[in-house]
Amino acid sequence: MKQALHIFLKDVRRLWMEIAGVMLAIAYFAVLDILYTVLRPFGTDTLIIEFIVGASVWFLIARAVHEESLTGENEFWPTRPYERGSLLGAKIMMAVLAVAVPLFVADCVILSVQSLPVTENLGGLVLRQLMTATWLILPPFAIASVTRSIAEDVMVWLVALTVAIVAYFPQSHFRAADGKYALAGALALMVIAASRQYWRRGTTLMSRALIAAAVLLQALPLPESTALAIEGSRAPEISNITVTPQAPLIRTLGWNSRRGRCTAVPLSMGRARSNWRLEVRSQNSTFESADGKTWNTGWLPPDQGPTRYGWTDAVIYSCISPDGLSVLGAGTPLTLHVSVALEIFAENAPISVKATLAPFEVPGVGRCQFSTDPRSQNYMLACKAPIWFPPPGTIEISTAQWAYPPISSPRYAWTPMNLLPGLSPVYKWTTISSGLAASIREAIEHGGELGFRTETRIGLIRREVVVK
Amino acid sequence: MSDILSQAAHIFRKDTGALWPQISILWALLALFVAYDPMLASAAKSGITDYCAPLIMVACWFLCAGVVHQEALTGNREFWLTRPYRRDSLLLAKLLFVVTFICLPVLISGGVLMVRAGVPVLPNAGELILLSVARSTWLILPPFAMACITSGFKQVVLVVTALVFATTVVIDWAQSFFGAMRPAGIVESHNVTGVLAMVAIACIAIVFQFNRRRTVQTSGLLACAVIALALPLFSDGLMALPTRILNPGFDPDRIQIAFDETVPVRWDNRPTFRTPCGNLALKITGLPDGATLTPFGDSGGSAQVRTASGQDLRASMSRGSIEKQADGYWENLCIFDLAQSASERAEPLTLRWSMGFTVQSTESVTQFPVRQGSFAVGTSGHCEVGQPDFLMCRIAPPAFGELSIGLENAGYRSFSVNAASNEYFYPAFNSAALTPVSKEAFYSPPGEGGLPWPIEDALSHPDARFVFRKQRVIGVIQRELVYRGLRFTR
Repeated sequence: MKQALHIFLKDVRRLWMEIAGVMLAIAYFAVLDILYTVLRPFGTDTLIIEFIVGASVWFLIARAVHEESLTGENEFWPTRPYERGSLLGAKIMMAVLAVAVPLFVADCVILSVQSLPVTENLGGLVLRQLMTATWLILPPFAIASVTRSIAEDVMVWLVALTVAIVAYFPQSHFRAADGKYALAGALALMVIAASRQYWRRGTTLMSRALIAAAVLLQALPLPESTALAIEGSRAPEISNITVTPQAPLIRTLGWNSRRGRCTAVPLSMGRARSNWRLEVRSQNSTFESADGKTWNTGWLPPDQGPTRYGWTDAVIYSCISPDGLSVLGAGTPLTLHVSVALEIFAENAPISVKATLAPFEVPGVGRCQFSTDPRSQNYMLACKAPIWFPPPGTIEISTAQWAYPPISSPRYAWTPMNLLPGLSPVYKWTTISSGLAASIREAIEHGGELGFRTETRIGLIRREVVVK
Repeated sequence: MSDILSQAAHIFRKDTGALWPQISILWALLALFVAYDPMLASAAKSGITDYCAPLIMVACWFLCAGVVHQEALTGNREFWLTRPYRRDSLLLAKLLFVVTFICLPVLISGGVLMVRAGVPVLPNAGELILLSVARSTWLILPPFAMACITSGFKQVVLVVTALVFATTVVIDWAQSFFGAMRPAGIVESHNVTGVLAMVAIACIAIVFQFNRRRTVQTSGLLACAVIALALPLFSDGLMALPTRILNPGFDPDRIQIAFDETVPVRWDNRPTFRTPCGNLALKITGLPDGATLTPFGDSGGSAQVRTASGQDLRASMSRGSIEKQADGYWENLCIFDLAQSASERAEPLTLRWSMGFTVQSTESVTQFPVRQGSFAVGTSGHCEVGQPDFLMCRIAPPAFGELSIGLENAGYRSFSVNAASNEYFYPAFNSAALTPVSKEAFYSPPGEGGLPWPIEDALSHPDARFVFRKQRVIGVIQRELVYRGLRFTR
């Protein structure tokens, strides 16, 4: 411990500039995050400052690890002035005290300045620091432990990112929702690589192979099957749900400016409970011409909105690009095979809140307040949720018939336990569009109510649909 | 002279041997970019090139800094005391390295992308080279200059992070205090004065550092180069300087724009518009013949519309080019939050549109009747009307300017259907930043907005033509337009 402290203090003296840079960037991020509101944004983009925080953390961690570079045979290692355990302890101390603690303090300040409870969210805040460390600290730590210098580090990052991009993209969208399992595996491999490197310095090849495996894990060919198996098993009864086209023939629609020529496929869904809602998460369409030529779109996000509770009908849209049409030939009848990944949501008991101009708490969602949009001067509901991403669901306004705006959108499927991704501990969003301005005004004036109908995601299924 | 050259060749060979991993990574990334051609890849794979582009930029910076750092110019190491190299040989070797391993591969990848997209290379070679030179202002010059005043890549990372951080902080707070002074985007989009000043000072600093090795003075010069980027913030005259030099006799101050309230508003009655949209006549004077005006910036599409009772409504102006039609100039306005009852009441509205406009010269490239099939757009590329209602073009836009595609019939010209342009002076972190070819697809199904008439209808009009024009910005102006008695009289 004494030696670890000694190494840590030596690193602090050597890297004070980098540490100051990290703290400055985190402090400025906190200022921007506090000043930023959805209706009146401040500054260019918090994403830039998040990128700066990420870059400065990467640089600090890499420099700290490279202070006693673990690879190669320099004169330092034959004399072995340090215990490896102390060395690892010192570097972890640097990561915790120079990165994790300032981030934790920044999170607490951001919450308290925005009148959001800190003590109630303490557990969540700690969990968030652990999650942030896995993407902000662990990868630079692992890569620095198998490289000698910043130049080598940059090269490894460039190669790793290139491989990850190429391996990841051919299966794009569906992977983005469910590649989290591969990502968890990759992070575990990185932990093993870094600890192995500190434990048995000199076996760099094995540690580098582990890092390579972590990068290549994203390229495994069956991630959606894995995700389906894991998430489908949570509620076995969802495997009974059937999805069939309402008619074997479909009609062609016009051009969609983003996708090309589109077709609408009406579907019937069976054996779903009345309080369930099915939503297409992603779809993969394959068009086949009579002479056997095919055109595949890959996994893409769907175009249509969510269905309602208890509805057994839905429509999916499949679009073929001009390039696809020129391959298959225009004017020829096509067979369409669509793989759909459907998410199933169960409705929770609705939460009723009186519509008022004062801020109000929505349990499990966050703190909301009606504010006026500076551009349209219409009422919108501006909400903020600390630590956890708001649950999916809809809002019911007592004064508006047939209008169910979503509680929030979009949703994140990546983070464990629905924790907020990124550096900000507060998610800010607006809901209820200006088209409902009159209903909102009426609800506020006449004591109307808002019903927050939150949902719990109970699983994911994949179904195949074939039409002509 | 031959000594200088032979020493430069020696240094060049030595650097190539030392930096082959960095060269390989950059070339592999460029090969990947070409292989997953953003012009040809399917929707699912096109994301690869978008993510490749920033990596290519990092690899370029890394290689560029690496080659200068092979003989770091800072400090007083024993290397410089013994002075084994002439400084001019050293500079020549580094420039040769950058040209051979960065400029040429980027140029060749651009040529391959052109060939794959069916765009003839030779007629567009000049534009391709110009584009490469312009892009080197952010792909090569910044790391090269920074490497001259640093001793290793660690310092470059520190300087870059500090610069980006400082710039972000300055922009954030400057916008919050002075944001209303200029239309958003006017500085970012047309700051040629600042860029040219920055490039000139940076080049002087590099030559000075290689010649004298005075790091403190060079750092000062480079700081001036960064500050020079902000020059146009302080003076309209400075911002307009390159325009005035390149276009003698053209005075943007003579251009006057106002709504012509004597001409009735032409309301669009297309059933697909869910919001009231009208065409407002404009009075424009002082605009050179053939020139067009294009609103730009973040708020280019928005206008303030206020009712007589003081309620603000959300409205959008069309963002296409404003150009002379058979009966004058027109601008399209859609109002979103206006209830049907208000339009029935014909309540007078006040419209304010405070905007920056680019003044663009136009030069016709080609035009041809609207018909099915494929056709060449001069030497710039080719287009195809493949279905009754879509037009797909793969074209090489001019290096400085854009190629606009319009539809013309009976004296009326649609606003630019699509305009292919190149990203040049500023770092752009997407695939468009590195490809010289632009893929423009335009769909015009009957009954949807976008064109005054759909392509399918135009096919049956013998006079309807596709018009392709090269456009170049010749000036930037800022104007506020007010319409005081706007009434709904549909």
